[in-house]
Amino acid sequence: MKNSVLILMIIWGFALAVSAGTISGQVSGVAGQSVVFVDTIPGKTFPAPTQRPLIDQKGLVFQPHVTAAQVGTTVDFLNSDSVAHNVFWTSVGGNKKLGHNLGTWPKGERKSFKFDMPGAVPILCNVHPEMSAYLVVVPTPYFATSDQMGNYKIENVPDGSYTVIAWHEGTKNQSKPVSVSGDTKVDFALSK
Amino acid sequence: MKSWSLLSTKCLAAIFALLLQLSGQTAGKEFSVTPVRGESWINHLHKRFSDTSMGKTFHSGPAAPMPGEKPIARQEKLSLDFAARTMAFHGADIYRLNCRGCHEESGHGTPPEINSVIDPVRATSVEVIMARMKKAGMNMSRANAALLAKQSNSALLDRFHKGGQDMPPFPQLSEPEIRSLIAYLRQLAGVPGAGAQQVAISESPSHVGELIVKSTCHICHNAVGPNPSPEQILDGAIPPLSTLTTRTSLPEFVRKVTAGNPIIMGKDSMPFRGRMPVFDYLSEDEAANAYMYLTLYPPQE
Repeated sequence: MKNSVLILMIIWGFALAVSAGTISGQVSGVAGQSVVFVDTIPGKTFPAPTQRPLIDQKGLVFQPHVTAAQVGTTVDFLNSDSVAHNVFWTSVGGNKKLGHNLGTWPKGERKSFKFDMPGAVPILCNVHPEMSAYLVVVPTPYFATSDQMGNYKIENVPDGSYTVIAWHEGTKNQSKPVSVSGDTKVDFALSK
Repeated sequence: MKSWSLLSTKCLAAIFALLLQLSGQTAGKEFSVTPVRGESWINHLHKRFSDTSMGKTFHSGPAAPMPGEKPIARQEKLSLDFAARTMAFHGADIYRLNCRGCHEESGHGTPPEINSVIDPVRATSVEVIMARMKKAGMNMSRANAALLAKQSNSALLDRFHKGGQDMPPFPQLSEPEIRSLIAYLRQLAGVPGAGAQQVAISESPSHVGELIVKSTCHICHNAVGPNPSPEQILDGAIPPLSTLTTRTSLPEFVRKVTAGNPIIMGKDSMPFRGRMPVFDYLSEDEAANAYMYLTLYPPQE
């Protein structure tokens, strides 16, 4: 029984390796992290992910500054500072009806929120106006957060034709039609 | 005022008590003044005096006179009725006696150890929140801003009542004092219209002393303990509050606190400037109130 499972897994892994590739490249023209993701694929839905990304408040800074998550993800917000922090956002993807105030809480406590709509969420702390972070909620499981230089790599994308979007804080999203077959390169040049 | 130095502690205590009674204040009753107790706040945090900015004003006293030199002459300016006069205190005075030793005059503190009070206070103002969000291009309704402000306000009140990781709680502050303090903090933080909301509170001399001792002196000085020798002082010992009224006379104490005064340190019993910061933002009368409080309400375990 064990052997047959193993064989099945090997076959499955082989099948994946054949039909799935990567999308990688660079987002240039802007400083800092960007998010690159595959836009909604018509006729396709994805189960809600089980991983819970963490956005920490430490040293009066949101860490990390940019987080990407698939629609349906529950995000944890932690306060690691010895002062009270607050978490609120005024919109999701520009929709003000989705603004929310998660509360103000002391060190060591965390609160969670499930994001059911796609779009960028500017995360703020009312106590410390210089603090800000972004959560980018994306419609598919095919997404990546770039490094500080803009290099990104989206893994395990099935071969096919997609719209790929680059997001960066303070700029307009840029989309490109992309045909993925194996390892595919896509670069974006954004400007503020 | 030289005569104050000729009086014994017991005699002073009797005079202070009499003065308080004459002015209609019975020590320890209406004002619920209580003795200072326990270890200093930096001992509680296991911090060394040299490693913290707490209680430091970054002002030091005059250098000690060289051998053969005469100490700098100084005229005390204590009011005759410092022990009896009730004072009108504003939030700015509450801040000065309780917060300034750590958070500085500006409220900015010394980050990252001591955080600024400015942003947490600005966060309690609906107007400030709405203006901030408008500037960021994310207009916010008054109702939503009010909800944020309310949360920030209870976080701020929690801070006074419970303290934080590094900040002590302030049970010595009454509710009217906290309200008056918050009004001043809002003014300090530049909240529009806060200047017009200042309120005065009438304070007894012993409570003024209590606030100074509990909120400022007790950051570094333990309440009780053995009287350190000059050698121990050179090694970093901080004399407990219980020893101060016998170590120093009233004028010496007032001078040490408000202007600085050399202290005998080390084996050779030489005078040095000492490590204690100078609290030049306290008046001589206020420092004398602290001495009187320590005399009338002896520090306890």
